[in-house]
Amino acid sequence: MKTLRNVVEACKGQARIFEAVIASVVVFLAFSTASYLIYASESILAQEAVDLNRLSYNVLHRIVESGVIEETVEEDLQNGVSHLKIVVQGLLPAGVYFNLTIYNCTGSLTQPYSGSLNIGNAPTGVFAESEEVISTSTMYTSKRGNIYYLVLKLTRV
Amino acid sequence: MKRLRWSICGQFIIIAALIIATFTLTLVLSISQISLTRRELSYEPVQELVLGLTSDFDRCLTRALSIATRKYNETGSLEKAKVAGEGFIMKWVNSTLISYSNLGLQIILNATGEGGTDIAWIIDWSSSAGISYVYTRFSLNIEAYGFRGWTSRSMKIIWLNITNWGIDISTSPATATLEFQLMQSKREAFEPILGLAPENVQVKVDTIQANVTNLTYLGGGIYRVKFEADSISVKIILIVTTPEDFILVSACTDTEWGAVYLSTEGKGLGKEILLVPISQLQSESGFATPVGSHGREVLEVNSTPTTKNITLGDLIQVKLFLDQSTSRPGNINVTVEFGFKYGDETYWLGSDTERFIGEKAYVFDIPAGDGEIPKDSILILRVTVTSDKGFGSIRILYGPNHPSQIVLRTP
Repeated sequence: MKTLRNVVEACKGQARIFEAVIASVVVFLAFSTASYLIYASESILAQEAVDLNRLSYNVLHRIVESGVIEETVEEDLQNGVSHLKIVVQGLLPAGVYFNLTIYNCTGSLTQPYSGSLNIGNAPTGVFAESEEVISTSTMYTSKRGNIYYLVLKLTRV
Repeated sequence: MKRLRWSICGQFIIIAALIIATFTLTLVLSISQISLTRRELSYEPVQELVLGLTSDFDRCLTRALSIATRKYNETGSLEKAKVAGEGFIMKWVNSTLISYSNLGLQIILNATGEGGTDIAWIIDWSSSAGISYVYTRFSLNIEAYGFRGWTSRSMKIIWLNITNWGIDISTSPATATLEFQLMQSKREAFEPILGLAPENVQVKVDTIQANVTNLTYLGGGIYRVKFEADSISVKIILIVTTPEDFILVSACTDTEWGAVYLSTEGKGLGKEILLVPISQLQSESGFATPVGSHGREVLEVNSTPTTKNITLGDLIQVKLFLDQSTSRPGNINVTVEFGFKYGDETYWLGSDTERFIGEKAYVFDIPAGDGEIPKDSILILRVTVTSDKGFGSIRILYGPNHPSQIVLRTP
């Protein structure tokens, strides 16, 4: 015949097991949630960089395929630069800052770089302060025989 | 005794808690590891970079062909045209290598070298069909991304074919009409060149410039040009500059046998490979494989009877686009013999051998000694492939995209 003391001690043992299981579940849920949250935020950041990269390559592709370099930089350097700025800005969504550098590589074989020009819409310090800045580049040979190296930097605020 | 059971029960609880904690930590570490692996496999713009470079190389090639054809028009020398065109290509390669030096970019492109070259030029304006052509093949590595072994092939062809002409001598000055077709290709299919203006067309009667009075587009790349000429001659030279790319191409009404090309004739089972002047070159591209056994394979191609006496230069140049259907180890040599059959006699003019080192354009030089091939002769090209490891499986490419040719008289 079980004494009252035995019953109380048996209940105590079950309660300890129950407590341990609950504690483990709580720990497990806490760790799982934390790791999920960390992973999700990294994923968002990585996705943003990929999107900016693709956007940047699309813009460069549009610039070189449309012949806009010939119509702006090669035709009329004074007005062409501001026109090119408008074209690039029109290809980008709102809230994206850009900096486009065009190097002329039509120099000699040993010293191909013979000048550059810079176009951008970013306020001072935006690229330095931004967490996500991407830089893409491409080559472009114009119909006049000039070889250009285009570098486009983008950031989102 | 009771105290002992209680203590064992307590240890079990601790062990269970430790196991659960271990599982939890393992799970967290696994998730963390997956996250790190994903970060290592992060986005690398290899595709965009490679496509951007190959796309611009097409533009570079177009510009190089424009430079080369202008130089050829000025000097009449294919060698000088090649030097001018290749100079521009090398400038592009150099600029690209410097611009992408931070990525460890390598471009392997041999303009000159023993045997085959990666750049092939054909500028043949000597008959009623004219061609301005450049072909390149280069390999590309990007060390920063571990991307190696990309091979790109690019070409640009401008094709001009005089289809019909006539001179009205009843007027003074004499008026003439000439119809021509202007096509271009970057890949497989040809497309018409549109937007030609009278200033893009030059007509010469012998060497005298004619006055172009009218240019009409008839569709399908065919144009009709009307012009006035002071002198009357059967030799009309047409020079066209393409409106977009400024590439020159020319053809003349005096058909010559300055060069012959490998081409298919007939269809189905009756199809055979022949040597033809450029005006008879068919639009179908293909390849021929020398056949044989024990490491020696032979292909012999004949021409139709020549329609005029052919005055040879001091050197006959056989340019063949060669590749290999399956890569095999060992040394493979390709020997080209050229001759002609006149009456019952066959005359072999000479031969040249090159070692096969991969898919390239190969040039074989055969000394001809300024001889002459009489009218109604049949030209013979014999290609022999020898391999020390059995079959070589060499293919000779031909057709408009890979115009394997024999230059009988170097301009």
